[in-house]
Amino acid sequence: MFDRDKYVDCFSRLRAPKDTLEKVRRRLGGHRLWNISRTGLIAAALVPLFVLTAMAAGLSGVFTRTLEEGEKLEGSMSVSSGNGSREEKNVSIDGASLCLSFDIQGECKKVYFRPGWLPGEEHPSYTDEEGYSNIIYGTEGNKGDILCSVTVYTGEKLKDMNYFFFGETRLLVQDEWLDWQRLEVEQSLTAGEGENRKNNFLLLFSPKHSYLLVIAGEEAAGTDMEDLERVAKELEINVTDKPTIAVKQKTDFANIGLAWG
Amino acid sequence: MFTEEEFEAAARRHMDGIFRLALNYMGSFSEAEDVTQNVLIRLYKARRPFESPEHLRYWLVRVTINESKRMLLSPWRRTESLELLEDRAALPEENRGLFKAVMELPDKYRVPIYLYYYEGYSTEELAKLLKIPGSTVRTRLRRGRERLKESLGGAENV
Repeated sequence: MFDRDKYVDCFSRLRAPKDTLEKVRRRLGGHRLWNISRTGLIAAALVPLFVLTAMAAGLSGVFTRTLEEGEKLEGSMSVSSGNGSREEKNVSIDGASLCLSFDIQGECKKVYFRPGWLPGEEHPSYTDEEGYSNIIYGTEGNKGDILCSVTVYTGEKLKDMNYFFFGETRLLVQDEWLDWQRLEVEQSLTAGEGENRKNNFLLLFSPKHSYLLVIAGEEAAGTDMEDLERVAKELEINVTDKPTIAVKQKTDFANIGLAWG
Repeated sequence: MFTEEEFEAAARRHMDGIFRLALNYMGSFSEAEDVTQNVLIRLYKARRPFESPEHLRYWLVRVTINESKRMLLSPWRRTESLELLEDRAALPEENRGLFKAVMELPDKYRVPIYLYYYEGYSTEELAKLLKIPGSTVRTRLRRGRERLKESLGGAENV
């Protein structure tokens, strides 16, 4: 005989995580509105108007997930078969700790940046008129520690993709900052011979233009989070009118890391 | 179309139910959480009136089923061992055996059992919701109960 009462008692104890609704708000791009309405700084009558505006603007959102210890990422990946062709393979990834996914709305445009300030006493000169989608430089003639890396991911690269960090990561900050949704991530990796490397990441997602800036530096190079914030503040962002080409992602996930390419 | 306050009230009232149904489909807390968020976003964006609380509840169950099935087909999955599931459920000792036995069932048995015994849908309503014949619903309920009894060692009042 099936005891319905026991079953109901057992499952009634299972609840959605307490921060579910807050995460939903964040994904809807309404995190700022949520904070404002919660603190009572805006009249309740105006809230629906703001929500409608946010929806009409088609704002995107970033979503973070901290993986449980021992949890694996499973999905497919396009790998070289050795004869020049590529094939889809199921892959299981162990050792990831933080995962990001994005809700991308609207058309994605090409985005470039030009740095206004960079850490380190000497760094390359970045003067290209249109701007850059990726820069990286470091000590010892770009062979030593990485002083700074800046990469922009357009919305097309973020759609249906899950980005993850290896190693031990700490999500220090997740908030609204300037025009971005900001994440500050501290990463600790054990390299060869037990050497421990620490990297700082500042991730800035634009809900309006659907791009992600990843600004990073190695602690061994002396780059801290304040440096990365200053890099961000002085970046010149060029959101072009050029649409990006829609491509089917060849993998379900990709690593965000800091290494010489 | 919901106002902000109506959305929040509906989300708070139904999100545990959405989560439980999604957990029965996905067998993973992380994925059940993802499904719950996706369903609430669909609710937020739903520009349609609901005739009654029952209509809203039925719509949410239907959307949760669709969203769970969509995620089950995704090549991107996050697996959780049964041990991890038990840890995350953090249930009292007296509930753990039953929870483990239920989560070990294939989802084709687990989901009808949840909708029938917890949500109180009839077998005819389940047939419509799950888009399978009523006779299949009844067979799955029976087999699910039998499996539970077996896995719990024929314990009384399984």
